[in-house]
Amino acid sequence: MSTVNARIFPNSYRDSVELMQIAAEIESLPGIDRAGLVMATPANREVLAAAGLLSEATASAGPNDLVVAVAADDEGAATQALERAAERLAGPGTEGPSETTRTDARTLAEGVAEIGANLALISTPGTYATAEALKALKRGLNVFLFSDNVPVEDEIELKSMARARGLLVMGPDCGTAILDGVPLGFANAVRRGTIGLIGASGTGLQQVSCLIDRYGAGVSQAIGVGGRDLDERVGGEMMLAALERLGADPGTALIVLISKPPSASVAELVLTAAGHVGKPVIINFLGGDPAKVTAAGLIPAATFEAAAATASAMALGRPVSSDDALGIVATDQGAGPAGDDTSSRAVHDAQASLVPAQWRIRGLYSGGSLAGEAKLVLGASLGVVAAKLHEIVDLGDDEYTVGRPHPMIDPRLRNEHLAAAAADPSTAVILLDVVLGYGANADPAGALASAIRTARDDAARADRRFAVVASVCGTSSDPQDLVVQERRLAEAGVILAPSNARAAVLAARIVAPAAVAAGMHP
Amino acid sequence: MISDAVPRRISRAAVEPLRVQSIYRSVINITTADGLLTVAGEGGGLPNGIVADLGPDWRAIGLHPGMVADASDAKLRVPDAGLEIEFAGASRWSPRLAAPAELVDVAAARWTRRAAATRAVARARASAGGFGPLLREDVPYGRDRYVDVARPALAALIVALEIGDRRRAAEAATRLIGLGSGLTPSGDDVLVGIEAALHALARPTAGFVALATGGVEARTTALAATLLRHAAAGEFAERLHVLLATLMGSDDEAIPAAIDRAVAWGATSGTDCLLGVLIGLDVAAGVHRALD
Repeated sequence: MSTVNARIFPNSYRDSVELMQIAAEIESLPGIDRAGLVMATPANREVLAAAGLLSEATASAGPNDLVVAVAADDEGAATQALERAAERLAGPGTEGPSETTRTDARTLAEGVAEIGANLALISTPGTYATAEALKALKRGLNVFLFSDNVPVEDEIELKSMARARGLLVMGPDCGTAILDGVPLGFANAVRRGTIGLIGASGTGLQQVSCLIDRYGAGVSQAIGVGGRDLDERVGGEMMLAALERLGADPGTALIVLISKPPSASVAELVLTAAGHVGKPVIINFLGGDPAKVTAAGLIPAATFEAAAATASAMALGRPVSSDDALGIVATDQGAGPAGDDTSSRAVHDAQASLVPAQWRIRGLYSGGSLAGEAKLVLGASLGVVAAKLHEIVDLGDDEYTVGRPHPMIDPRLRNEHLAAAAADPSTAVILLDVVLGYGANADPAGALASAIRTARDDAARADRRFAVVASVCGTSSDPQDLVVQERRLAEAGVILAPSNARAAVLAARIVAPAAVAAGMHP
Repeated sequence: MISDAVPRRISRAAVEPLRVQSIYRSVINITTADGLLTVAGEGGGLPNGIVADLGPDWRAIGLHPGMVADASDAKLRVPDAGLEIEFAGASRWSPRLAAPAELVDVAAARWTRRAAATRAVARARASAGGFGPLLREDVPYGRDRYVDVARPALAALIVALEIGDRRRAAEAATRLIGLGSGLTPSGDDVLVGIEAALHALARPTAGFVALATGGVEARTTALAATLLRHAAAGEFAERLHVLLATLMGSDDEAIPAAIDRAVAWGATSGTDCLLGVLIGLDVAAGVHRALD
């Protein structure tokens, strides 16, 4: 158990090199994890806090006080270190800075000068991201803005500047892009082809591109524009700019536009522009009105799977057909639909294991767009009112990711929620997405499988079972390998669906009888 | 030698007694209602100060923190220590830094020509402490917590100054105030250096720090707060005047020695100020800057 302790030296000053040397000296003492010696200004206190070095002892320190803070294995080691620091501060000063090891500087300027870069990928904390992006735009670079927590006012400013300069700002909070075959962010290893994708939806873009790969077609470009691009305030600036680019791209034969529910006026603007692009355009605006899409001479798709299947069929010259009200499209290449024998058996087995109190779906998502799609599908399957009784959480939302990694990178947050969901006696189905790709966790299914087994064991002790339904968004060329990841989940007893939409349909089918019996569904 | 800003400070402070704040080997700081008044034995003129000779070690002349001092146009006294500094024979010096309009373009052009070479000299000679790693450009993330915080804030500041956005510059400056080690934390020294360069080249963004100094006394040390307020008003230490005159002057060969003198100020303040000056000159002269 680590302890943090500190001592204040009021109105005290020693030169900064000496303070660094004292810090290094006491950090080398046994039982000391880290140390800080600085004037207790608010800025320095923030740094100390971030380093876990702020203790109650420093609460009264002001900007003219020197604070010595240590994190130690135990109180004794901390006290010893503070006494050593006090001795050093009372003694004569030392001289001379120590040498540091030189490493190669990596700058935007070097990127431009040395490799002729035309794009900057920015992944700083949101507070700093705007300045970095402005800087890149000023240097004539397109921007892939991975950072989240960027204010919408900044986004508007950045996109306005980009439009004026003929550049793209992909983001903020842009998870994915594939540009000239180069994957950025969480992107997956998908086959190259003639389908151009533009998405205001990171995992939506991933799901569509992965399914296109699964169906045997390929992607020319995948341009993420950030989840707020089709917000009223942003006005679809980058979707319109990207549309122009793909319209002019000779390698792109047809275009898919993907978004969470857009603002009505922006949607209209985009549909009008798409209608004039001169190439077939498939519109996958979750919850959008297909009649408006059709009226604009465009092709509607209600789900990511429908968008991928339609685009793939068109690119490969195959017929397109829709098999249900969700717009889920059956193709020869698609993995088994939700109603096939295998999944029917899985649904039946899951239903048989539930007790009457278990009726609820708990969706724990790492992808915001996939979570949005799941809600939509549950609404279509169970009825909008009944669907709201179930819970679909986007754990990648800003409210969960401030100061901690995205759940697609670090599985701990979702595993905590999974344990809580499993402990809820009303939980019948835990619905999950597993997103693969270059930037994602190296073994997300492995981490989940372990948490699922533990949760199942805990539930079994209370004589309860629950079903886990998941889809894996990825390809067999991804670093994590779709086949390997699906196998890990199957071994943990997870019911697998080939797409997120079908996973949600399966979950709905499992709970429907129990929910009706419990009086939760009409 | 006495800064002509000192009588202003003394007159404003008349309503409240002055007190000795701290005593070092050759520096005394005295609190006034308008910031610190500094008496220094070396290092040239200070915007808030008086240069005097009070012997080899000022800690041995009977001064203690909290002692009451008084001052007038004619003298500064600490009666309990028997200390009296007469101004009558002192030379007056103006800390205000402003370039003659007709020389600004010439100076900017000179800087543009020699910026890269000067940076190379500074890189080789900068201190490893403070924000020196930013000047030395050997700064992987994770090695120094303060540098890690400073770097993106400085990058944001540079962009803001490049696009002439004083509000955004002040926001970035706020993140630097009070950041880092030393009696004048590194972030404050950098800001002073940047302001000096902007004033020297008469840029419209000069004075941006004024937008960030509201309540600054609660956010940084008393000395740093005082120097920031002077910087916002275009007033700087004599050594900064000399450094800038050399960096924008006609003699290329004088630059390495000027850099050496600059990095020798204090433990890290010189390097931090120099970092700010180089950033400020680059921004003011439109030299492409790569602090990413």
